[in-house]
Amino acid sequence: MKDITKVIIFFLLLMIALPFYESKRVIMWDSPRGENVFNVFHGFVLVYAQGAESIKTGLGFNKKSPAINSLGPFVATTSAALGLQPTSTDSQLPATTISHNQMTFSPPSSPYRFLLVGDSFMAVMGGVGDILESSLVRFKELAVLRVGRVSSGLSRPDYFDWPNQVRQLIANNQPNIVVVMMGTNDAQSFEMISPEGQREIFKYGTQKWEGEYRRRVREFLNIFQENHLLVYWIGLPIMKDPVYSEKIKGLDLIYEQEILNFSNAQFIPTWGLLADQNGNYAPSLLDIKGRQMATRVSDGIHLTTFAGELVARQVLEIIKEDIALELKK
Amino acid sequence: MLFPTFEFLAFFAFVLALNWLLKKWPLVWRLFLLLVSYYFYALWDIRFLGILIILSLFNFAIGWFIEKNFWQAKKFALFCGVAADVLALGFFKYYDFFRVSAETFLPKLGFGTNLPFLEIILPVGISFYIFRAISYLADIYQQKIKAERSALDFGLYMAFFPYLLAGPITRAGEFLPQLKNGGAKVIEDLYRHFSLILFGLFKKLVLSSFLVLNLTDDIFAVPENHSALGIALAIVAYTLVIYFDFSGYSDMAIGFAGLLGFKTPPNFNFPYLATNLKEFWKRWHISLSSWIKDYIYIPLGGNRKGAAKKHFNLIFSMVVAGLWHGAAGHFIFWGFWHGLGSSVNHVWLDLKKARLSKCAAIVSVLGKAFGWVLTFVFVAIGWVFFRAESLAEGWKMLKGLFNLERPTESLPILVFVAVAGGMIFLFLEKPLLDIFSKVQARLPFILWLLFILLAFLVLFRMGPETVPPFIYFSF
Repeated sequence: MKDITKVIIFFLLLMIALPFYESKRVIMWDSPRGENVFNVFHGFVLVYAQGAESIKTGLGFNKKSPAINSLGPFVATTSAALGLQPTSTDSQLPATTISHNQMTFSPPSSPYRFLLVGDSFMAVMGGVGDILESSLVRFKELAVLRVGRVSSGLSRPDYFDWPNQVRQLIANNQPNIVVVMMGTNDAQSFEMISPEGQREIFKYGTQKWEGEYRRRVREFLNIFQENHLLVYWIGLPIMKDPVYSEKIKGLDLIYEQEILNFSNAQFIPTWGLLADQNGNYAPSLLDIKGRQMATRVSDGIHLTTFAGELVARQVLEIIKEDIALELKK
Repeated sequence: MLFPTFEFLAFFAFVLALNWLLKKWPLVWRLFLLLVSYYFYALWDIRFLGILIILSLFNFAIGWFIEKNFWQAKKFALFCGVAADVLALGFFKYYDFFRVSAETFLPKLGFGTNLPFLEIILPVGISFYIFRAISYLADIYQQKIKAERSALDFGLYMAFFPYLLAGPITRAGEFLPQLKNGGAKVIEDLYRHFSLILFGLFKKLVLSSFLVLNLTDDIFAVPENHSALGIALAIVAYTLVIYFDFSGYSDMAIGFAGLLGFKTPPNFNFPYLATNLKEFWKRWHISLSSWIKDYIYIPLGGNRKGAAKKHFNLIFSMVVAGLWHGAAGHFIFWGFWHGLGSSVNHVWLDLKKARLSKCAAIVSVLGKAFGWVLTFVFVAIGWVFFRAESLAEGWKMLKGLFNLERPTESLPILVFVAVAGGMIFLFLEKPLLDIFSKVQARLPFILWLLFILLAFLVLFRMGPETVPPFIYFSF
């Protein structure tokens, strides 16, 4: 057989076998920020992998994820946070702008053990996490553990199970303060499995989705409350893509609203910090020397070091209001 | 579309089949390759494609102008062509750096600055295809090649998708003849190409991704929070990461191009086996280092104008190589570091040649081992500045090596295994690559098919849970 024929046969087989075998990963790699609609190959592989997932489930190959099953009964609430059509229950929810809750929780005393958790904003260099960590370690009697995972969030515990991860991190490291920044990957649909074993896709933007997502946020915050941790949840900034930005705005509102139920937690908004005077996306802002500095890397999502410093500085100022920090010599 | 993704494999399967089918009609075949390359690029951002097409047409015209030597102005045409290419690169890559620098320094001198902030997105791969264009113009000027007659072929030279995003920086003299008469009729070294693709996937998906996720990113981000051992391990790990990442990408690019019937010279030749810096640069990112040598070092005079000029040329060329990676102090320092090292290395080699160092000849084996260690450590220190966000961060990392007060952090055992395994792999890669190719050649078709299929499945399963980006896409 000619080599050319061999190679063509191989690649055809590969395209049948690989997305079938790795169907879960294919679906997981689908960006919640939206793919290029002209990428027909992406669409083709995704549709094929979704079909493969159904076949594998039908054949009983897909075991239920304990992380998903442990989430309990679905809870559906509604709000205007995601831009949903108002319903009769919507009016009972807080307005889209709310004032910060004042923590009534007693701040921990030194030594301070900070746990920094989140998605790429915490994980990637030049984001927020590394700058915040660098700023914090300059203080006395303070230790920092930063755990960031790219592409993670609360939407996909099958990829990275944050509630279980933080439980372990708390048990192993006994932090007394936690700083959270996540959500950039969460505006995506997720699959739910009911206690009876029924599978259902909760499409992003629906009431069911929002109800379940809120429940996850509360569950996450509960872990910190049970362990008597002081929580700072850094809100997400405005994004370049207006559609994506609206989604992020909805998520920010969910965090802000849910945090109101926790006396040990405080929401730190960054939306306005990285917006221009009119509240629009700002690709650049003036620095202290009056220079226009870029705020985002090319994706219009992740921060430049300059913007990371702006956010980290704001967070540090708020933390300093609650606990006494003294610089090392 | 990144190489180690499902969608790229689907795209490649489609291109591969049609590539061989359409070769009967050479014009259609070349047009097809150009269109799929443009499609591949436009998926990043349609605006990038416009820049690529404009630069392709411009350089095609200038090449023709140089060859025809209209108005005896071929030197001027070359100057205009290169200047325009460099300006285009400079605008996209360095504008913001210059703007911020101007806003910093000009007011101190009493001047105002009116440079506007532009939200410039660096077109991925622009550094690579602009260098391809410059070498094309220079080669025509030096009469090494003839100007390409077909705009279609030249467009493909600039845009050929396996090389488009991160090289290799192929030369027109190597690539363009492969488009004539329908190109290759058979796949040469089939098993070698599969070995390269699989080794590239292994280096990128498994080794590099693991070390980045579990060690280097965290420690380089905040070195002051880590022990001397952790920092030392991260420096060695990053030395491995940059090689696995970039050579992995190059291996895949060469392998995929090979399956389409294109021959590509190697871009990496096991560089960490080098026992001196001169040898390292003959083995590392060969398409860039040879480009720097041919179009900067030699035109500056190379080693033909005395020792002092030679050392200046060496350092200057390496600083340009550093600048090519980005307009930042740490890249410039990285280039200077290598320039200085190369310069010292040349002095040493000249001394050896002059037999002034009998000692080195007597203990040549020990000398080689020492040379290897010295070269590896030197290169690793250079990578610290390459990786760091700034010069200051690089120094912070190096200073951390001597801070023995900080308690050693508990690192997963797998991290140590990965670093040790990575180091061993450096020495075994070449023989393993040869063995892997030979084993494939001996297998019956069905077994070969299953073997390679299984290898792909295992590698993807061992890979990270997220789409892995490549370091060199940002250059």
